[in-house]
Amino acid sequence: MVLSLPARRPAVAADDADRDRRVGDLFDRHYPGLCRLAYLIVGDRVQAEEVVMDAFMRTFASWGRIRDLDHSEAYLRRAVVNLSRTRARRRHTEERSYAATASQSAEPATAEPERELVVWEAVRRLPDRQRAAVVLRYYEDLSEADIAELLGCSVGTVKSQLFKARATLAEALDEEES
Amino acid sequence: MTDDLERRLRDGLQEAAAFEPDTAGARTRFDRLRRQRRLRLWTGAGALATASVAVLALLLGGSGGGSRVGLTATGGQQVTTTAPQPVAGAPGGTGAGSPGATTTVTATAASTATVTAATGTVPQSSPTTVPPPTTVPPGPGPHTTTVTEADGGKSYTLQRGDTLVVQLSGSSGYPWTEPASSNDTVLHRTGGSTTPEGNASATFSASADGKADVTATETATCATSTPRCMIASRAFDVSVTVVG
Repeated sequence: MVLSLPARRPAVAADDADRDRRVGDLFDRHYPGLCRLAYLIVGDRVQAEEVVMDAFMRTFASWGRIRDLDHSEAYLRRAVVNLSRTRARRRHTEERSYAATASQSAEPATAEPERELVVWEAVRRLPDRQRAAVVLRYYEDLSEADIAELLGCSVGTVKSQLFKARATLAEALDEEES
Repeated sequence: MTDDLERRLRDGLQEAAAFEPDTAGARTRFDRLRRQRRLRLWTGAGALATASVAVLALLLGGSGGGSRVGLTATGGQQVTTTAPQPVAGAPGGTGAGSPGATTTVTATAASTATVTAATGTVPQSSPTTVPPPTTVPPGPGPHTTTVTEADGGKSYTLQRGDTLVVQLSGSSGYPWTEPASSNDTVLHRTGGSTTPEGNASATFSASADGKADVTATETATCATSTPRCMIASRAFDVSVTVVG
């Protein structure tokens, strides 16, 4: 007796090819911008690129649940923001742990060019949620409602976070100037 | 003051983010990860399908006593198990369950399930997946077999005098090491190189009977810099058997 499993249907193969092409186009178009966004939240270029790659892989895996290209872009942005915040929290925990245990004789880390930027340095010192809100508001130019949706919180919380962040930044920049 | 602060924030963030990531290199890595993921899915689905059909075939054939069950996957591997011959007068004398009947199942993925058949019973052990062996077709003169990173995990059988060429495609941020042989007597490396773009290649000559593994590692350059990133390395490995 011969039992033959059906070969893959051409329609399925065509779907796969179409999905590959669309995901590839999406990657080329959005990878640089998403890397910059992730970098501003994470504060590290290598980790930012890891985050964006992870977001694209998740999008690729969930492609069947995404109805159209607009939704895929929103899905990507949300994934990048959330993964970046998770990575930033972990990074800050590791940095605090390292700072607590590092010996006094340890060589200082090589300064990155970005560290010379006063504003950026002040933004980096903000708490994670405030920093994400500031980046989304002043780099991505999103509305408070859009930021609330992305961060999964209320508009009031976003306003509060931005208010606190602005106060902290104003103080930091004033100190820097004086 | 608020306007000035917001303007400084916008300018400062734009300036901090003024860098150009390596999109081309990342795209190469992204495509590779997608291929690996698809391969894993296909292999998993193929193993599941093959195992399911194996159980079905055993159930169909089991009632008839001894039967011969052959499982063939498109990867070219085949495992055949033979159940004990039927005892005279055993039930189920014709059709799929008839003694000596052969059930052939064709699956669409490169995987094979090994099944131990027992008359009238479903095997207790779970199916296992084995890598697909690739044998260079016999014929006059030495052959050259070329493998790429997509062939990692496969097994090859070469004849003495054959040549194995390994070509690994990486990127500047994720370079491959030069492929190496675990047994230079069996599989002698006659040449190899790496490029600044992260590619690596090597040529091996099948010199003596035996087995050897060809391995290479793809490691992110940031994993060896300071501070180190935590990107996992990827290993390439093919198993080669050389026969006379």
